[in-house]
Amino acid sequence: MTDLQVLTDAERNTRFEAIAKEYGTDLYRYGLWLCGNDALAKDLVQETYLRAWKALHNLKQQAAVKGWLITILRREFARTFERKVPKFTDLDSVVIEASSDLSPADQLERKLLREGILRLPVRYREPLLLQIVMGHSCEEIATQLGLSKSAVMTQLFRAREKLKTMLQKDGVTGNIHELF
Amino acid sequence: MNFSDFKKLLGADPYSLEAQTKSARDSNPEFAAAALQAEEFERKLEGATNIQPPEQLLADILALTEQQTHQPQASKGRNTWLMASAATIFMAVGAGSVLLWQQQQYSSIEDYVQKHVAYDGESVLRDAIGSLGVSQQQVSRAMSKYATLNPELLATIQYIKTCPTPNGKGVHFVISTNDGPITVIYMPETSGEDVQPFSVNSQRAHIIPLDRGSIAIIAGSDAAATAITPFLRTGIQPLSVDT
Repeated sequence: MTDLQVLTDAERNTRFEAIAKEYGTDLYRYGLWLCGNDALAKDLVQETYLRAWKALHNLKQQAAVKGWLITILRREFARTFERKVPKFTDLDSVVIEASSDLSPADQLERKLLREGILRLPVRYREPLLLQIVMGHSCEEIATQLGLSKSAVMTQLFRAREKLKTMLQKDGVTGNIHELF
Repeated sequence: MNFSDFKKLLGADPYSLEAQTKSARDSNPEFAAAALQAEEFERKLEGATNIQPPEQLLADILALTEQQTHQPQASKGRNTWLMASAATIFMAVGAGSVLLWQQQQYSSIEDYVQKHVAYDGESVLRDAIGSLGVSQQQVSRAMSKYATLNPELLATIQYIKTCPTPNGKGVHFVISTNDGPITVIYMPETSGEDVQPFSVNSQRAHIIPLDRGSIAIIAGSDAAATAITPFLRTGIQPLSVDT
């Protein structure tokens, strides 16, 4: 356990920078998939870190940082969502692929998967993102969302089933059909 | 565990390392094949969600805290602000304004505008173009600490958000004009005296000082920026720092 309250300003800044480096990318991804809008995702991440920095002295356990940041981001998203439902971004216009060695069929499949994720209802999308993007276990997701573990597992199963169904309906051909 | 339960478990947690899952997977080729298929689907999901963040993301996160450290704290009252202002003036007069900029992450106001536009200029413009406009409430929320806007300007705003500036928060908005959408960045705590127009991302940026702070106008041409300047000067009524 690390008590951040005893840190000096310099140590606090160093710790904050480490937190930004460690979780900034994942939080952006999580925010983007949650809200479906790249500009809003950037704002959400910035606002999350700004609030985190201001409240860093409240953080008692270093191990809780990730969950803490996610909680802040989710609250911020909820506040934003209350004001205005964001429009989904055309992700193809903002996504920078890490590699471009996908075949055309795989690229189509990836595009459809992305669209499918954004079309998932939030109650399915959110636990799925916490698992895939943030690396949460089912127990951690249950804690984060205030649900039972069995409820989370049901939502995760249904989220994947819905994605597979969407891909089938969208007529993806090729090896993904082997999965069904 | 039967096959149906096993598939449900895979669908919920494909990488489950629980002994029960591993045992079931190894007990039957059908189970093992289902596990392999689930892992394959998971790799596709991870590939689809694994997108690259903007290059500036980390720098912007760190810059926000830097600004929090350096910016005047309104809650500490007028004296603090006066002291901060005095310190700023002293630095500008005594050591040149370049030193002030060197305290931040930007080497100049031009550098800030370049980085800001590169960061989210296009995405904000894209959202603005597809927008039906913003409500007065949204404008108030973004602007209320810094300025009021007259109704004529208000009617042209297609998108508005708060944003980082060289000295604390500011407001980034897009207005609809006869020359097309024009981006405006209001920097309430940043003086924009004597900055010549410059190019940014195939557009032209003009820095216009206001009674409090300054605005960056980013338009398709110098003529468009010049034409809209009086409209913006009239339309933005900065609040005093004490307000």
